[in-house]
Amino acid sequence: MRDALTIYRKELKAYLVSPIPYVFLIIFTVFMSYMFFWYGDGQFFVRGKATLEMGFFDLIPWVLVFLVPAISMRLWSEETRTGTLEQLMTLPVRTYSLVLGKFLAAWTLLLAALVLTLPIAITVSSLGDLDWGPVWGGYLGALLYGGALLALGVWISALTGHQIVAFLITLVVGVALIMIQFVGGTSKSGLGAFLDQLSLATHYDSMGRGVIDLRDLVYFVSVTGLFLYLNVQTVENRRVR
Amino acid sequence: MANKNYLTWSHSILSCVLLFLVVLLLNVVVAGAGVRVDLTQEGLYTLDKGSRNILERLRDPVAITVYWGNVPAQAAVAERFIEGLLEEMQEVAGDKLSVTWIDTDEEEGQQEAEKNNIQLYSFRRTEGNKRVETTGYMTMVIESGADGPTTIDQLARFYTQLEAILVADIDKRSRLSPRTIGYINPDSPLFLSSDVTGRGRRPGRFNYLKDEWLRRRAFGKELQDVQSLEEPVPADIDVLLVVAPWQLPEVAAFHLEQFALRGGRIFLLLDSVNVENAYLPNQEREPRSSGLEEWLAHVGVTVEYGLVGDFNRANQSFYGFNREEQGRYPYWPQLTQEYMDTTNVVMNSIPAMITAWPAAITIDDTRMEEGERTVKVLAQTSPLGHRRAEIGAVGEKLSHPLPSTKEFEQIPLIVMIDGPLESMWKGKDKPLTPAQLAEAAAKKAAEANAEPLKDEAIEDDAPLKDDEVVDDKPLEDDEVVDEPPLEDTPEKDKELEEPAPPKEDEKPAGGDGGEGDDGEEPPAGDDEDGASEDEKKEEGPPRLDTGKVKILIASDAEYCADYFQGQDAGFAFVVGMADWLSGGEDLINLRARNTNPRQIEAVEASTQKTIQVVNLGAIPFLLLCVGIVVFAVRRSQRS
Repeated sequence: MRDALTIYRKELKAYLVSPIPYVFLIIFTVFMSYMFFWYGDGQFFVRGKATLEMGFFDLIPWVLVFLVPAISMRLWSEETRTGTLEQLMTLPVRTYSLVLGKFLAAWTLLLAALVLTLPIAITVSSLGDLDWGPVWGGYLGALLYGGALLALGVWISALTGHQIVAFLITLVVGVALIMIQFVGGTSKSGLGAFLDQLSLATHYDSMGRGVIDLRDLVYFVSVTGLFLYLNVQTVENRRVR
Repeated sequence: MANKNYLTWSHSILSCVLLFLVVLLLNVVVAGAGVRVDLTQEGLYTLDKGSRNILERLRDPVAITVYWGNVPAQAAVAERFIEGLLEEMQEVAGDKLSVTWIDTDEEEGQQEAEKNNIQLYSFRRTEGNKRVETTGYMTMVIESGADGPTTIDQLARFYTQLEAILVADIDKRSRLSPRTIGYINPDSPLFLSSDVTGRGRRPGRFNYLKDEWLRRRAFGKELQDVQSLEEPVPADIDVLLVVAPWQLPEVAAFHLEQFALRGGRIFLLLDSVNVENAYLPNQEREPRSSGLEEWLAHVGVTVEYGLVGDFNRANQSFYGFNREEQGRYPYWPQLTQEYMDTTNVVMNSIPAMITAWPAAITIDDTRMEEGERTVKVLAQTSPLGHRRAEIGAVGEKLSHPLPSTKEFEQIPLIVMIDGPLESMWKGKDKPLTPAQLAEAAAKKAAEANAEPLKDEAIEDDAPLKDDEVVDDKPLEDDEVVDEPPLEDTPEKDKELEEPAPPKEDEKPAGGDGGEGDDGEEPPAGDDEDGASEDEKKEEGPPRLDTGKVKILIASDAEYCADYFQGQDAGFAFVVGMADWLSGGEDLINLRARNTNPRQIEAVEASTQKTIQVVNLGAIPFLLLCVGIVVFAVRRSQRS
């Protein structure tokens, strides 16, 4: 675990000095503010509702499905491209520490992005009696949802040496994991119910209302854990080769 | 090396498959756990305490069947909500509540829905340039014991109210004895005896409410007519609906209070200004007295004479007889959810309701606090509400004066009073009925007639003042009755406060004091024998001096009058409230799940712009600054 923390700190420092995370954070905060306060007929002052569920938390899955692959695509592909992967492989560090360190650093960046949107919630709170329960639930849901997408993206990044390919595959799989809830229709049993439960969006929606359900937590943790494990196995196999 | 690679790969694949299965199993196991934390301030996604109590004491097993399938994708939120609610209810009720989902996506489910005559809904959506129509099911059926099934249609539309609907139904099914709703409409004779509401129609203006909504749609045989409030309210009545009371005698207020003190719930639909006033010439327009004013003031509520207007356009109703005479009319305020207590299950189910010339309700907070009673304002005007003391506006549909902004306020129009009450007549004699009052007056008159000389003698004995002239003429009957000294005595309240002349049909047959047969106490001052005889005949419940009361007061009744047919909200409100009041404490205290987001304050356009610009620019600007600083530091370190 100490190794994982070392890798985590190294990755964070790399984020701090690279312009890419700043660009990511600026795009994310500008986009979310614009969509919430300005966009279309649904803009905040026209709606007049003290809630972030409309125009903010309902957009998060779609915003993150594009932005998370942008963070995750370079995590392993960049190492492959610059040739530092071999150097990493020779380090006396266990593979899971490497994977965990990289994942946690990227997740922290995602957390920073979400924290930077807090002024929106504070603004709404100052203008009306905002119920903070659904806000915290929404943020937790967004963090867990982003974490699951990130774990997927990091694994795909490990599978391919090309950043663009990693971005596109993560994007497609991410969209599929959102849309899958509609494939099964409204069926309460069999394949429909299974596909519904498999969807990232189904579990995120529930948390966005302010309800933290053990099923949703277990789902996000297990999906994240599964992709991180796949990532460890993929990197391990490279090491062996 | 190749062999090692193969082993590693196969090991990896095997472990991944194993992990996938473990994860799947874990999710399946947890799916039945139903452990969750509701972070919302009002616990919007948690069963109410009242619901829990009702479900915990279920008598007979209840079976809920949900027919669901082929509904639009937007209904997924409703589906999850319903699913969560039913799961939670099952956890509380245990084996007593079973839930079955019939998946109508499957052919088998569709067949079952058709067999049970479940409503099929049509949905339209756009696919490309085409309008596609699909059909689906979203209905719930509740069954329990010998009671017939209850069907709740359009689940996707009413899902936020489902807890209250379901629990109310289950509560009714768990009752040991049926409830009874009492109905009385002691309206003005103008409405009750003549055909003012339309040619060829029955007298009275609440026929549609009573016959169609209360009797046919809601309560059936549970609705009982109460003929008069001059007698005690029948003991088997749970809720008494008093619609548009007009000049009720003091004894009616007494019986109402006794009914409330015994635990009966009162639903008062007052109607001080109504269509009657609108069609009268200006000079004849007078607000009508319900006769309950004094008692309501004792409770802590004043329903003011006059009008309430709402000058917020969204809270005004549309008035229009023809193209020339149409517009928004503030004195028909439209109650909207924004200004309703939507935690109340009934108010929560009513999106908007038009009222016609309501009166303002004023709460005497001191009196309420002293009596430890609570008042809930269930509906009020917008902050642009206005009290108008005179009622000329009933005839000024299009040309009413705009009040000064200082006169605007939020005005309660529907309130619920709950808590202890000490009788207004505690330590006093029970008020007399109008017939008894008339009888007493007649008796006195007769006595006066029989002994005119005695009266004169008494007057003769009294020292005369300068301006007093004793008439030698013998007094006539009516002069004796109206004799000033009697009016000034403290007995005034008891005896001659409301000396309404008895109508022909109210006069006791044979003139033997037959009105005493109604179980009333004898008039004060009656001889002992007469009193004990009447007491023997008294069949009413024992008189109470204190008790806990529940009184719902609405300051308008016209939204449920016959001429409001087609405006269902008012009728639904009355039926819903009567139904709600007939429930147990748990049901009455059940709070609705108000999932409507709260409102933000009105913000000026310039401030809006500032807020938008700051939110859009501040954080990116800060990030840019941090980036530049980091870049500069790194550059300086390198150099």
